[in-house]
Parts: sequence; structure tokens; C-alpha cells
Amino acid sequence: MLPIYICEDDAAVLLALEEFLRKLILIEEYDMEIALCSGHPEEIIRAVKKRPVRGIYFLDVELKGESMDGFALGQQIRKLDARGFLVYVTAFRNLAFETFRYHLEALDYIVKDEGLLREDALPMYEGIRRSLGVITERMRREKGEEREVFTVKVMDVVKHIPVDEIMFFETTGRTHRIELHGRQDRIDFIGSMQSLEEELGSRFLRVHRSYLVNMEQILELDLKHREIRMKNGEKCLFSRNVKAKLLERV
Amino acid sequence: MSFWGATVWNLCMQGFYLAIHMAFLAWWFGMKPRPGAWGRPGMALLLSGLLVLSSATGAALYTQGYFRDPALLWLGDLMAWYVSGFCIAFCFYRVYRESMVICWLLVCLLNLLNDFSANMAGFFLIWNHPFRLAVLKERMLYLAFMVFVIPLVEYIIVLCLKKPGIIRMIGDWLKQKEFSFVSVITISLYPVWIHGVMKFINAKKMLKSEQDNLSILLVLFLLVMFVFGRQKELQRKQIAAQRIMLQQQNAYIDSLEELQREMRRFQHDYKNMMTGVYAQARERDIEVIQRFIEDMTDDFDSQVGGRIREMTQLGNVHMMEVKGLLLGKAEEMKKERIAFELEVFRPFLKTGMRGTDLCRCLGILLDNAIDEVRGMESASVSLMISSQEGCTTFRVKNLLYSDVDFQKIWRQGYSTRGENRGIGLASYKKILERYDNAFSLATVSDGYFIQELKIQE
Repeated sequence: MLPIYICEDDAAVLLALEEFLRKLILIEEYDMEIALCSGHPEEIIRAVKKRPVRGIYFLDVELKGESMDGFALGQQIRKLDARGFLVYVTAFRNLAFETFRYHLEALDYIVKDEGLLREDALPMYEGIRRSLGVITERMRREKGEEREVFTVKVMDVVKHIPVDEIMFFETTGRTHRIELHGRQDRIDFIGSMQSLEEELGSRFLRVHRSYLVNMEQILELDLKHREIRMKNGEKCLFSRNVKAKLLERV
Repeated sequence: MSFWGATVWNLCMQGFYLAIHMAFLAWWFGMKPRPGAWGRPGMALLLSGLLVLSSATGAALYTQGYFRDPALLWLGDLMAWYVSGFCIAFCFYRVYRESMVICWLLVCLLNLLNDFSANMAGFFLIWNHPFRLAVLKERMLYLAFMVFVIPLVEYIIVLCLKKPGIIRMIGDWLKQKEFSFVSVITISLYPVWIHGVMKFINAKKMLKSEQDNLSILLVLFLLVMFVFGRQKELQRKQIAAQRIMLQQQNAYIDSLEELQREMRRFQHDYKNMMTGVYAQARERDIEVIQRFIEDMTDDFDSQVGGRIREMTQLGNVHMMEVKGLLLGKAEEMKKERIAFELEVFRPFLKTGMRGTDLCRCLGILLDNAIDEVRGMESASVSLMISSQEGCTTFRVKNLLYSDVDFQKIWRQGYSTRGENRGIGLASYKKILERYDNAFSLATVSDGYFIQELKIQE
């Protein structure tokens, strides 16, 4: 059962949110429960610490008179619950949502309109309904596919790339820098070929001093120019002494 | 002296001077060996190998008589000079991890200093002939010269050069990392120049040390002139950059003034509208009043709201150059009817990249996005700047309209919108190569093309 946390400094909005969520869970028969509604971010953090499972969080961005704002609270929650769902509730239409999504992987944001709290089919409620829908949909999809991902940290963010979407790794001009060539990604990160080889195992082959190739993504070999064509059309080189090994495995 | 004796002697001297010169480099430019350089396997082996190679070359030339025969002296000198120069430059390259060109220039400068000092020291000699190493007294004197007098003279010269800032100037020149081909060649050929000049003035039968000093002074003079010229050019560039910044600031002020004018206009309209709604209010016509309020908020949003939002976001950008660039791009996009969504959540103060380079990079990323959405209906480009814990992320996002081949975007000269576009990415990569603290990422996700640049402070 997914616990839901609400952090909102306006008591009236907090109450309305709680009531609406309770009803919605009952009607839609969601596997969720309201764990805590509070106006204080510290209380939320304490509660999450006590029960470290994946949860849903409705957070107000502006928390007046509190020690942190919604963004900082989101950062704290992310440290405790990396896979939880963050939904922001804000009075501002022009919230910096790209930033929230980028750093906190926030799911959505909902604009609250306090004057209209009493009625039923309102934008805020619609937003909540939509968010819970997206969350259940996402959970269902996650169960269906268990793809292996390659995780790489680039400074302050972590990227997950499905292994079967990686074409090859290439060393770049700068020392200890590797470039990941994916089907739809290019990622520049710090690492070493040797440790990548060890991490990824036999599916990847070091075909050249500068290339570590995903064997399953090879389309064809050009023996004359000693080039490998990948399934996405990219090319990389291979060295003479791996030719036999390559031919045997392709 | 036998070949082996000469080799050992050379080896000692080269090691000794290498140590002194590395101390000089640390003193002048604060150059330190990269961390863990000495602990690397093979490093000691490589360095000693290089030193032995250069010493043995010198010794071989010596035993072959290249240094005794005046007719062959120039050839021996040049050969010994370049072999040992390359060896030491390669040592520097491994130890300091600077580019080979910089290492080579350092070797040239240090050798110039060394030659000049040796000749200056030569003035103190009472006799005017090369040391006769076979004579014990002269051999001891030679040793004293090599170990004490020359380093001392080097030290004095360096002190003299450091005071008026010449060392700093040379340091600045080396730091810019982009050298013209001509300047590198000029400096690399300096031993050739010296021999040329010496041949030229030989006829006047001057003392050998005087000849040397004259020619070296000449070269030194040329070098200083050259560095001065460089400095001037740098100043010119700086002035040009300042002028651009001033223009950008003016543009910023202009747009603020325009915003203020719009506010005034709105205020004027609003007064008129208010008097109208006041009459309705007296008649208690709630519906009209509601519509009025809706209209007014919409009006405000479309007239001034958007601009205010843009300005608040822009106000969080504290790097003046970047602010100017963004203003320029916003203006450009307005003309092309492209919506520009700028998002700067927390103040962005500085990054670990030079302002000009950062502007070039951002300009390229934004141009790519603009090229892709130009002419499309409700086209929009969004840029997020986010500073978090000493790391700044720039994230440019735009919708992809064509089914673009993601890999082709990276090829030079490729763009989905025809020829001669998208050349930027190649120069973008080139700029990033100079920064170890910059990371570039690109991805296609949910129909968006996203380009990211992350820079550590």
C-alpha cells in the first residue's frame, strides 16, 4: 500500500486536499492510504524516515514560516525515497517546473485556487485525479517490464539507460572521460574503460583501445576498413587482434 | 673523456638542471606535477630513459669530435640542443600534463635562460678559450661553474625579469593556450637564429662569449617585443569584450524601460476600465463584473505578465555576458515568433567556464533549437538554468518536428533544416575539450530534443 503525504501550510487547503484524496481512493479503489497531513516539513521527513517505502507526496512549494521550502523538502525526500512520486501544489502559475522535474523528478504540479475550494470539478481536483491516474499507470508499466539499466552519475544527476539501448562507449580526448553512445542519448561522464568492461561483462567487447561495444547492437562488420556498423547507423573501429574474436561472436 | 664518462657527466648535469628548472616553473607559474605523477608505474623508467637518451646523444656527438671542430660546432650544437630539448619537453609533458606545445615552449624559454646565463657567467672568466677539461684545475673550475655560478646567474636574471612583470607576461601568454604557428616556430628555431647571427658577425673577430651574448640579447629582445605585441593584442580583445558587454547592458536597460512603459499603458487602460466597472457595480450586475475581472487578469497576463516573468527569470542570471546573450536570443526569437521559456529558479552567479566560451556554447545550443523549430506553428524553445551545490546545469529543450536521425545531429554540417546549419556542434565540442569540468549530454525523449551542458565551479 502506497502511503500518501501532504505538506501544505494553509490549513483549509490541507483539509480539502485530504478529504478529496480520501474520497478518491475509496471510489477508485486505489492501493493507497493517507499517512500524514502536516504543515511542517520536518514532520513529513521524520515520518518518511520511520517508514522508508515508496510513497506519494503532495507538497506545497511556498511554506511560509517553515525552515525549508517545497524544493528543499523534495530534495530531502528524494534522499530517503528515491523512487517516490512528488507532486507539487502551488499558488503560482509560473512555477519553475522544469527545474523541479529535472532535479527532483517531480511528476506534476497542480495550481491551487483557494477561492474555488468548495466546488467539486475544479482544476486542482482534476490535477490530483490526473496525478493518481498517472501514478497507477506507471506502477503497472513498471511491473510489466524489467529491463536492465546502466546507471551513470553525471555530477548532480543520475541517468538510467537501458543496456539494450547502448551502442558503445568511446574514450574522448580528455583523460578519464567516456562518452556513451545510446540509441537516443549521448552522455559524457567520468569513468574508465577497464571498470566498465568489468561492470558490463561479456555482452560488451573491447574492440579497440577507444571502444567498448555492445555485441547485441552490431549490424555488420566492414573488414576492409576495420569498422563496425551499429544498428543505429553509427560506426566505430576495431583493432586487428580482435578480428577473430569478433567474427566468431557476430 | 670516454663516451661513457661523458654520458654520466651529461646525465648528472641534465638531472641537476632539470630539478632547478622545475623549481623555477613552480616559482614562476605555480606549476606542480600532476597528483600521483611520481607514483605512476613506468614514470621513473620513462624519465630516466629520456634523460639517458639525451645525455648519450650529447656524449656521442662529443666523442665524434663535433664540439672540437669549429666548422662542425654549429651542427653538433643544434643536434644536441634539439635532441635534449625534445626529451625534456616530453618529460614535462608526462609530469605536468600540459599540452606538448606548452611543454616545448617552456623548454625553449628555459634553454634560452640557461644559454644566456652560461654566457653571462663567461664574462667572469679570465681566459678566452673553452675549458680544457684535461687540466685538473680547469676541470674543477668548470664543475664549479656548472654547479654554482650558472644557476646563480640564472637566479639573478630571473629576479630581474620578475620585478617588471615580464615573467607574469610570459605566463599569461602561455596560459591562453592558443598559439599562432609563426610564434611557435620563431621560438623553436632560436638556436638556429643564434648560429645564423654568429656566422654573420664572426668576421669582426669578437670574443666568443661576446658574440654569444650579443646574439642571445638580440633573440631575447625579439622575444620580449613579441610578448609585448601579444599583450597589446590581448588588451585590444579585452576592450572589444568590454564594449560588447556595455552594449548588452544597454539592451537590458532598454527592455526594462520598455516594460515600464507597458506598465504605464496598462495603468492608464485600467483606470478607464475601472470607472466603467464602477458604474456596473452600482447597478449590482455581478456577471458583468466577473467578466470584467477575468478580462482584466487575462489582459494583464498577455500584456505585461509575460514580460515580467521573463525579466524575473533573467534577473536571476548574474553573469552579465550570459544575460546579454539571453536577451539577444530572446529578441531574435520574438522576431521569428518563437516562444522562449526561460527558467532560472535560483540565482546563477558563476561557473567554472570563461564567460566568452560559455556564451559561445549556449549560443550554439540555442541556435540548434531555434533552427529546428523555426517557422513551425506555436514554436517554442525552453532553457533551464539551475545552479545546485556548485554545479550549474543548462538545459535546452525543443520539440522535434521531423523524425530526425539522432546520430546525424552530431555530424559536422548536419542539420534537419538543410545545408550549412548545425556546424555549431563541432565547435561546441572543441570548446568543451578544453574544460575538464564541463559535461555535455543530449537525448531525445518523448518527442523532445534535449541538450544539456553541466559545468562544475
